[in-house]
Amino acid sequence: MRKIKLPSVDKLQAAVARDFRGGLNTFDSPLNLNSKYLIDVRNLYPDSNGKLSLRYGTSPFADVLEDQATTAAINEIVGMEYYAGAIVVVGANGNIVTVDAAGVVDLRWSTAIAALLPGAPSGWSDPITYVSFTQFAGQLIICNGVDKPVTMDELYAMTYVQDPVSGTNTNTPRAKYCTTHDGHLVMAVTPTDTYTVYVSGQGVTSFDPDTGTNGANMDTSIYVDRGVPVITGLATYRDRLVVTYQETILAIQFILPTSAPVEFDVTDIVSGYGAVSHKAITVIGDDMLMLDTSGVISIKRTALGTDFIPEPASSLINTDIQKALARFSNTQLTEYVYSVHDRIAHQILFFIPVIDTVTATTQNDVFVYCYDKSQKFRAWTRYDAMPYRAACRTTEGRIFYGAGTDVRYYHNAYEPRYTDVGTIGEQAWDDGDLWDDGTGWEEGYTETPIAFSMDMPWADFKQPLNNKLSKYLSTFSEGTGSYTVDMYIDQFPDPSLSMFFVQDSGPHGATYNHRPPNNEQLYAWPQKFMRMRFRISGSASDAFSIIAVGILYLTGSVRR
Amino acid sequence: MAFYSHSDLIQRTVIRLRQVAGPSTQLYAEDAIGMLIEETYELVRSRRWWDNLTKWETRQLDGTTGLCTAEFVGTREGFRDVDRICYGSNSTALPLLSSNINPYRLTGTSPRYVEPLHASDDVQGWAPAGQNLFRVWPLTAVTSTAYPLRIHIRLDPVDLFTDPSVTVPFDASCIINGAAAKYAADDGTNPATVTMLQQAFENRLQQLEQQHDSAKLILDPRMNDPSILNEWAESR
Repeated sequence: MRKIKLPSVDKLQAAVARDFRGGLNTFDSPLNLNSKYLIDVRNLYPDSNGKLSLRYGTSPFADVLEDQATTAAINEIVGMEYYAGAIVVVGANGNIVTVDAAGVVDLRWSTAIAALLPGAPSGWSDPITYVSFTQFAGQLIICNGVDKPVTMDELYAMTYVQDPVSGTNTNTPRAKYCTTHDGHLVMAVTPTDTYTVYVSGQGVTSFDPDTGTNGANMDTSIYVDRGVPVITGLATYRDRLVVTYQETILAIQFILPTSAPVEFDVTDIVSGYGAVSHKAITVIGDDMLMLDTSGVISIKRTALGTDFIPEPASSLINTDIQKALARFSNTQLTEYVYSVHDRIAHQILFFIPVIDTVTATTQNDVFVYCYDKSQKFRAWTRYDAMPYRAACRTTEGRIFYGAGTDVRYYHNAYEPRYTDVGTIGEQAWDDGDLWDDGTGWEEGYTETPIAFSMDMPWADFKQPLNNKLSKYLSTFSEGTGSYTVDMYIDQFPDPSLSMFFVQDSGPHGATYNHRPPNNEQLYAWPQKFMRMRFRISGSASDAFSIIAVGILYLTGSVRR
Repeated sequence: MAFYSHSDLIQRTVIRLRQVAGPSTQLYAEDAIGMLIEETYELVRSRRWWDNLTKWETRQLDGTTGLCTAEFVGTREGFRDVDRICYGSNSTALPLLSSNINPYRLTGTSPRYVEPLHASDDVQGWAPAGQNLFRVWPLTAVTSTAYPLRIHIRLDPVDLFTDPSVTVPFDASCIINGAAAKYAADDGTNPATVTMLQQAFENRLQQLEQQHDSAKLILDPRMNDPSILNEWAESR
């Protein structure tokens, strides 16, 4: 019997990418990247175990326009903060509400409420464009940069920040930024002064140096050697107050004489680095991350001293961040750009609007820093379809977003949801039964599956000059989702091969024409190439992860 | 194995190759496998005058050009699909025109020679629209209902391989293994698997040929009455 003799070169080889821990990398050439990196990604985040998982969805929590008993309280959310078991939401019209755990909205501050205070003050301006928060002496301090700051106690009663002895707020700065450091309330940037740091007495809200407390003011502009002397943010980091400019970072230590103004010791000046937004500074233990015009930088202390060591944390995606920031003025950066620390997912999300005319529905480029220090893991990814203007985190780690008049809950591993749920009142199939029961067209929530994509770098399988012939495709995923695998070859703009998969929750999901991944059998994938790359894109409404993708291929000669 | 449609053969070959099965599941293998099935069918089709692929067709000559008045539909290899052409009730086939005969000196109205048509004078390749295949000399030869041309010819079913639901009239296991061997040889599969598929194909084809060749045939066509058994009749 005649036998077919196969040349030895016709041996199938496998190339599988199953470690995506590198995350997004747009800095290095996509032609020379390791397969653990991605050259583009949307709504998938890398884990320390190497897989890519779908981000969580959001659902409505409260409508701050709709639910309060008095007249419309919030016309558009400017900022929000978690305090004393409630979410404190500040509106552009200068009103403040709280949202409790049940989603009940209560008006806490308005011109009418302010008018009931001694002296019948007029309340906050309308509109305001900025707000910052800090918790001081058990109370929540809220600044807007235009009006006198206000304070909320744990029963949500509000008044102005005032000197406890004189009972006035004459010396309280109309600050834009506030923080708490070493027992002092610290404020900066008023309508007339952009570089003085105002420090209250320790434990008291007195900003009058003559009242016997140790409050004091400090001109920090003298330490700035580059750029406009406008403070861009305040933060507390260990025993240092951190004051940021666009290109300078100051570390200030308080020295506290008894019954005398606090003395300031500038222990470090980091030039060449800064922060663009007070709202985009995050402290994680011994690491402080802030958004600089050149990208996200990390501030650490030296091992044996107290000096700061700045280092780029986003060097792999700096160009993308720079492009995203480039469209804004300095003032817009302080108002529109913010970050939120998701402690449950070990992620810090940096929100940058995609256009400079920002409205309640403007989408964001969300750059996500994923970390796990115990695993020595850190990587970047990118989310979209998150058009939110403000965010806050509860003490339990839950994240809430705000935009327009909607407060939305960002789900997490403990309360997972993988769709972006619309607002109530939109029509949906929501009676719990399928349409075949003849009912179901009721008011309910719409649910939008989360679209995702990932673009892998070019691969030549360490034989850049040899022709390759792919024969079979293999994908591994888990959860439930559908996606398309595209293969691009030799830098042609359009995919040469494309195949759609449906990942069901069953072992193989082998239903008609579903083309399930994770199959021990083969999917033909014939294509000749020298370099190739994969793009995977799809959507999911449930937990979904991409574990691996690979091909079986033959290596040929250098001649086509 | 029974006969299956082209689409069924593709799916069974997909399974034979351990690929994920299902209609339209293999976007990039099904067309290739379909063509290999057609290629394998052509290969085995030509090995014998298979009973199930040949039939007697009846035609009339037009009396002026030597062509039949109706074309042949379902040929795949042109005149090579014609086994024999008889005139009327004759058992002796008309001979092919020899090049040492000048046909233009032939006259009369009785068919005497068959000449395959030149490539440019007929539709080439597999022609669902039909082919003339040959002409009969002398060109003025005529036939009648009582004395037509009777052509023993190999024909495919209408729309074979263009309509995937049309049954491929050949043993399915032979075609599946043949197509799978060709596919596997091209994709770096384990050589033992390729050899196994190729052997399965060839063994089955050999078996079918032996079955075909062992059919009871009358050896002397002059003794065409099966009730009269003599030494010229083949028997097991």
